[in-house]
Amino acid sequence: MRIFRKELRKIFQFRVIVLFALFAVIFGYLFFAWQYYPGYYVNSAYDVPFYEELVAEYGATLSKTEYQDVLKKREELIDQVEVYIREDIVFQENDVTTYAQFQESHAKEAVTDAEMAVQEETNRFWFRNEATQWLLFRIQVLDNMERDVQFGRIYADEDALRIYADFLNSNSYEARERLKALFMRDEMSLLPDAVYELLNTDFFNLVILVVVCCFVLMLPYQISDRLRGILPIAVSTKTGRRIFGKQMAACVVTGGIVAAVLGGIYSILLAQKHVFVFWDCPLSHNPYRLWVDMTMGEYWILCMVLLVGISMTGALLSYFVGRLSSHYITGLAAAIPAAVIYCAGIRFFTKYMFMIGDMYFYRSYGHSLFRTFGGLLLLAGIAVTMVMVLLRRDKERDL
Amino acid sequence: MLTISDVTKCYGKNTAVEHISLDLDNGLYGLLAPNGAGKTTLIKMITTLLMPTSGEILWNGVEIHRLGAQYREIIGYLPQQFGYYKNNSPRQYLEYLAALKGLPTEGLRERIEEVVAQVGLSEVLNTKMKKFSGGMLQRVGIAQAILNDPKILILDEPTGGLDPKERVRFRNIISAMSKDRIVILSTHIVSDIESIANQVILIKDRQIYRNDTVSAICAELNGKVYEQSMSNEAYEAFEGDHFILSARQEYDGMTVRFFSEEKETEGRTCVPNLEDFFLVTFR
Repeated sequence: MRIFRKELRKIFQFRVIVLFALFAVIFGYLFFAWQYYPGYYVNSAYDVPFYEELVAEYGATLSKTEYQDVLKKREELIDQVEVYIREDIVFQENDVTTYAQFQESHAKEAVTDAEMAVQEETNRFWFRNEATQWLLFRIQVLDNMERDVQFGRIYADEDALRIYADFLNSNSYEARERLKALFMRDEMSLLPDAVYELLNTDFFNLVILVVVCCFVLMLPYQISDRLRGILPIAVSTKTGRRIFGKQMAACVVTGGIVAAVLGGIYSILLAQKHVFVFWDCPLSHNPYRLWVDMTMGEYWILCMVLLVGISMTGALLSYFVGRLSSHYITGLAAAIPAAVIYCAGIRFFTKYMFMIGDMYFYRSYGHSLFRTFGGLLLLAGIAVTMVMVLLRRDKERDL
Repeated sequence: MLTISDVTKCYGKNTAVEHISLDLDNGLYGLLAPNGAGKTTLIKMITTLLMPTSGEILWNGVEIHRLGAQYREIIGYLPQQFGYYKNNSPRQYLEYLAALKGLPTEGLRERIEEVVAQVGLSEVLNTKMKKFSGGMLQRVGIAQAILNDPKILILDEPTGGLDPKERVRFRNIISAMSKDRIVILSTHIVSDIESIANQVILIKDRQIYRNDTVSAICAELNGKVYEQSMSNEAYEAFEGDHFILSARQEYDGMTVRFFSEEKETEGRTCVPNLEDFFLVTFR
């Protein structure tokens, strides 16, 4: 335990921590989506606050009864936007007086000058008028909800599912039953798409960050011991070649610490952005149909747990690369492709985790629920095997 | 007793050392050979860094790899290139090595202060080693080697970079320690061991050439080492015909120390020293 603590102290040197912190901040500002939240999509700056209000009023989900109540809000919002429409001169000149006419004008292809003028005005209403933007994007949220209900994606019964007969039959039995269960739910989740996209995107950004940080911490630690000639003294002590195992353990723990710290800091930032308002909202709504029922909060906790595992595996990989590198240049030359391949593998197995339907082989429904876990365990197994072979070799080879 | 029994080490087709057999008991052993002769290879096998290709090394009759930690617990090793962390102080560095050596924390502080005092670095115990001179670093290396009060102390080229005063200090420390342990001092600097070694082990052509006391080894050259004074011009011709051990420029010519198998009439015989033997053996 004493040696293990001292090895950890060797890894977490002040200068390296400063470098690692600087890199994390720059990377965060360049690539993380949280800083744009809730502006993740153009409309999400309006959608998400509206969803927050709905959650505050109704909780994490909408029952059928509550949904009818929400539909009344739609009518109120349409009434409000029609006031703006009727007051607008361009619309007056082109006999656009209702929300329905407004939508039709916005959607159709403008040919004449008058039609172009009307369309330009609808764009202004959508994108350049604060008051109407606020109303229109909220109506859009409710329109999308209504579309899902009408198309039998929520609150459905067996009759409503008939329109999906072909689609459902193209799936495996397990996927079909799961999809039917999702369609026939009597609780609509109030989780905005933007939140799920944010979590999914930034989960992978966190993966890249922790993997890079592991290599930044681990490579100097491994290579410097060899370059400084510490190993002959260390290996000739009572501890002997067990030092390699202890160093490996220190690396793995470091990976866990890095993931916990970065994941923790990121979670605090998300909390400050009110993302966790949707903590209890189920991840059950189109387009992110998952094999299992879980809330956004449970999904995020799972992501954090996976992040720790991924980071520890990344630490093993960086330990492996560091042990085989004779100096910093070769270490860097080996670390870059190793990190890229590892991150690519993580991406392959975690893009839209647990979703019915594979994002890469879209038609191949019926993939195993455990594809994500299986894939990550495979990567971990490969890393563990490589390191175990290395440690075994180190027990007997000349130093 | 440390027994090296017919040990050979090969790297592919190259043989570093072969058929090395030694029995080492308490005392100071000087391992003497030119660069590349196999000293470090032998040292590394004793310290378990290398595995012999054939033969075995035994401590009190048990093979050292089988003993494992039990054997490594009683060795102290200063390698040729001494590794350290430049941002550590001697205290921090020795605490780290104490952990590796399995020393208990109880009494450790005092033990560190004791060994540091022994090597004369008490005043810089908490100073970062990046500020140390080469000699100071070497002394830290010696301190770490003796930290666990080893029964076998192995020092590989320990006096590189030390000035004469530090060399003398080092010899005194090592000599005092050799009373109750095995000390193996590997070097190509003859003066390091001539005055303190109980036994000298010379390696030539990858094998043990001599394993005897200094006086017995030097006695082999009795009557064959001469000293003669001559002019510089005469020295030029003399140099071509004789094996010169040393040549010293005086005010009025040269004083030449040389080796000759035949009896010389002009020079006066000298008491041969270990350096003479080294030069004659490895010419």
